[in-house]
Amino acid sequence: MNRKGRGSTSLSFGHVGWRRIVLLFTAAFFVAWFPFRGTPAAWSVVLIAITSLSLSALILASLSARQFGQGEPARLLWWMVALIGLTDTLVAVAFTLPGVVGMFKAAGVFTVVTTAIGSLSRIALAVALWMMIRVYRKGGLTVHLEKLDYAAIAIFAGVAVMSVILSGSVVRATLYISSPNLINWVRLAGIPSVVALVGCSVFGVMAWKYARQMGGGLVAKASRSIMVYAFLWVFRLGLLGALSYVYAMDPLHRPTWVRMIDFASILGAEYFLFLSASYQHEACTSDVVFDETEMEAFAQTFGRPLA
Amino acid sequence: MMWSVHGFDSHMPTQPGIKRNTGEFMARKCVFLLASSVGNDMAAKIVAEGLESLGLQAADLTVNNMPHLAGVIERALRSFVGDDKARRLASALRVLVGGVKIEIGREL
Repeated sequence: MNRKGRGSTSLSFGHVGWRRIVLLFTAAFFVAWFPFRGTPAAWSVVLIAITSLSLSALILASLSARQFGQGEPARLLWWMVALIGLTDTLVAVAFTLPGVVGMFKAAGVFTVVTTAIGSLSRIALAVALWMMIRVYRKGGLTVHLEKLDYAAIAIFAGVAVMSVILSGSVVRATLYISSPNLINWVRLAGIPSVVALVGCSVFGVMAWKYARQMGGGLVAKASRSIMVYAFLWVFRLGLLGALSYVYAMDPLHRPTWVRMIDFASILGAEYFLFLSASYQHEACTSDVVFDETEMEAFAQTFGRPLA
Repeated sequence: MMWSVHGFDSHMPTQPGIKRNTGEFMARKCVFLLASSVGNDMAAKIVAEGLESLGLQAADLTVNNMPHLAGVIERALRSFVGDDKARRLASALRVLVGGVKIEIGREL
């Protein structure tokens, strides 16, 4: 019997250890951002923090996707998550680099292209969530949506549509750009996001209900983490859009709490993307080992003494 | 089906009627070994469907059936954890569940 004693090392322990270390680093980046807020150094902190998380998610999701055979929905699901990691990296670079180098007016076309890439990311997210539902259906699970689920879908879809409509305000507030032409182009580039985000709202709620039926486990944790990632992105875009539109905030004098929520929601979203890829990678690659605690729990539950 | 998905919950208290050398005990061990990857309820469903596809009930499970059951479970697991991990989990079922049965046989 392959049993692992307390304090011994194994791949599964390593996964848990890495997740804690990454969480500490993420928190450290958030704390480090405070003293530098409003300066180019703060943009550097944002850039490094987000790209570290999204690139980690890209690598782990790619490795997970390779574990599945051709034709498996989970293979496409994890390739889509890897694509989200890549697009989020590109978006982070495009949105923060002008701030890092202090060339806000140079953002121009780069911002429009990045918004289009962001739309691609949301499409990838919708496809990923649909593939997740296909994985659960293949496993024989079924789901029945209730009134509360439809309400959740309507709220998420409403916030998602609002976030795209108000994307011009977000660009003004985050990049200090006020050119009407550019803002219109940003809105145009974000149109595919509307369809994708409505899809994400429907599939996200369905996938959440499927994941609940699994009764825990690494695969369900991976699924839920993707959904938290989606929710945080929608929440961030919706909130920033609404604040910028309703209060017409002067971008150069945005309250610190708005910047804090902005950074925290992006950082949180990317951490959950990493977490999702990390859980799935552990589910696909960890050793089949059971520690003493698990074996004792089983023995106590079923009355068999541990050998 | 003699038992439901929920009847396999590994957190439920010991049932006095279930002896550790029965097929039901082996089925519960299968669920326990898969639960950390795919969750308790999904593991129970996979094992239940595996047994059903072999035309067995949990109580009928023996060491001789384990290789066949492990094969069916491996195919079901591929969608969730990939080919390699599914193969390794199926091997673990053959060794840990089948092996324990032999050990219990000696005790008896």
